[in-house]
Amino acid sequence: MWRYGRIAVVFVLIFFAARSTYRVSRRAVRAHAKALLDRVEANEERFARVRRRLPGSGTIEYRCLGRDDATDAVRDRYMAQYVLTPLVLDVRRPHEWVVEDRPVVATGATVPPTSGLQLIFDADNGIRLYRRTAP
Amino acid sequence: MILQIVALALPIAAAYGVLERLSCFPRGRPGRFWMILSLSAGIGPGFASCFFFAWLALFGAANRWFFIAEFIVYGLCMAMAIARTRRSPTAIQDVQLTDRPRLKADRTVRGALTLFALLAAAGFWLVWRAHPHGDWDAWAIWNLRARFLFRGGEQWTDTFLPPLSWTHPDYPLLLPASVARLWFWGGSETTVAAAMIAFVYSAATVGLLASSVTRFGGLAQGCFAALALIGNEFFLTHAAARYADVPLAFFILAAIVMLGTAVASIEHAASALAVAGVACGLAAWTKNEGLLVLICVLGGWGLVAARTRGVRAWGRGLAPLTVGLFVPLIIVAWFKWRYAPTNDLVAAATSSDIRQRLLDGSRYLKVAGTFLYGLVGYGDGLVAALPLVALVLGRRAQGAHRSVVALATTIVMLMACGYVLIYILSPHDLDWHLRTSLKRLILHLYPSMLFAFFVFVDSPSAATPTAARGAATSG
Repeated sequence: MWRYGRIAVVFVLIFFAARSTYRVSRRAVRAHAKALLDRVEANEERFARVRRRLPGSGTIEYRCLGRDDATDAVRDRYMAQYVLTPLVLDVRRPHEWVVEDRPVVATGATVPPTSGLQLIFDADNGIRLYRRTAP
Repeated sequence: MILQIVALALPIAAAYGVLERLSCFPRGRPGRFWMILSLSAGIGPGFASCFFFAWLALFGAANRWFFIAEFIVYGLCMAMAIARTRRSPTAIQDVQLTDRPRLKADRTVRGALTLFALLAAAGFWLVWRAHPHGDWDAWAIWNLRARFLFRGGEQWTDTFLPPLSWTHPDYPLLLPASVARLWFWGGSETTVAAAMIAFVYSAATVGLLASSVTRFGGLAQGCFAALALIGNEFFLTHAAARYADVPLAFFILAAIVMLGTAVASIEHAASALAVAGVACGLAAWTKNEGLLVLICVLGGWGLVAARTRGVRAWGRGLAPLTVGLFVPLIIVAWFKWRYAPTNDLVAAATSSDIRQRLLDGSRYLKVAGTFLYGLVGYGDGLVAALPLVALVLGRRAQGAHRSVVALATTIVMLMACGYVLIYILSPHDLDWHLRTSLKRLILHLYPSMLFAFFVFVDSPSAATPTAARGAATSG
């Protein structure tokens, strides 16, 4: 009986190995089929034209607008930081360069005043670049 | 990409050259090649990341002199290894680590492991195709820091500025520095670099578990242990996610395996302890939890070695352990002192808060309950099935093996206690903190738990018909 128990142990280990490798592969295939372009890759493209117009290093201001969900807003900010590195994005203090990010066009979204900001570039995909002309 | 492969292979080859000459890996022992290769695959890139960070800290940015210096360092390592004339012993005199003959069943189990390892590698490739930048923490923390090191030039230290406090700038740099180093070698950023590093550490963890259990319990047992690791979906998912948890799990396992080797064999204890020290140091260079590894390894080694070998032997072992620890720990200290801001868990703590949390019994209950629940349900029930498996297989560990199991279990228990204490003292919302990190913390300990388990129990292959026939033939 113990012999069969040992054989069962072997099959249990093989079952778990087969199941985990299958599940990981299936999930990856589904994710690939669902989104043709990875979310990070998509943001790399969104920010590409603005990135060329920004300084090579330093700290800039970042504003994310039109997100109701806090998690989405955090993800957008982290994503923007990732693609705009080595620039440091600051959401608290004003800086000379301001990147405005509207990942979704929200109806009735509050548009903050742009006084003192000069529009430098509009990428037509929700990303705008401003330069602060007055403090 | 070829240059990046070369950049990754160089430190691995140098580490292999050095480790291969150490007396703690006697020739002729089962699993020797894979054990040294697995250790080299983790330790080599780990040291390379230390060297890369030291270069950036000293000279501001990597340039062509960096490549020349790397060639010289790794060339010297390999030359020293080749030139070293010390004879490697052919057998261990004091302890026979494994007495199990090679059976026909071994080949079958090895074939199964090879198959599932290839399937796991295919899964890893598919995940990389679907998410080339990895999961959230991979791009938001680890690859982000790698980008600062690569793109930042002289301003790479901008990554520690206050607006980036959410990126945990106090986290050590083994992973980001390893990825950025490959980018420097290749001359451009590719997602392949991070994937290669993640793959190497994942494969090294599986390889080290299989080879170390093989060393103590025979080939089939080693393959079963590796199958149990591959059978954990969370391990595979995390390996492909490109987080730092799998590299940390590798270094914890490496430290425990080498300490186990030292416990099992007095003759070659010094070199084994030195390698264990290196693994501990690199664990501290991988994640902040690595500092806890250091404390637990010293404590666990102290408890078990003092009991089995006496306090003097433990004291003698501290010297080689410190030698191994020296370089990585200097790098960690340099990073923490010069660059890293205070950790968020520490920064938010006041003495009254700490006292209040320590005296709050409900926190202990919640953490202990969640920890236990998480552990039992870990690996989709595989961990819960282990006591039953042990009952079926029976105990095998005797003599030195028992000391090895006791050592691994003590260190894992100490680590678990340390994690529980961190949760109790955590300034964050406890539910959120447990929900977002507990499974990853158990992952750190999981390969070491499997190591202890499969050294402890008898091999399932011992009673299979093929094995029985093989044993009868060989007998």
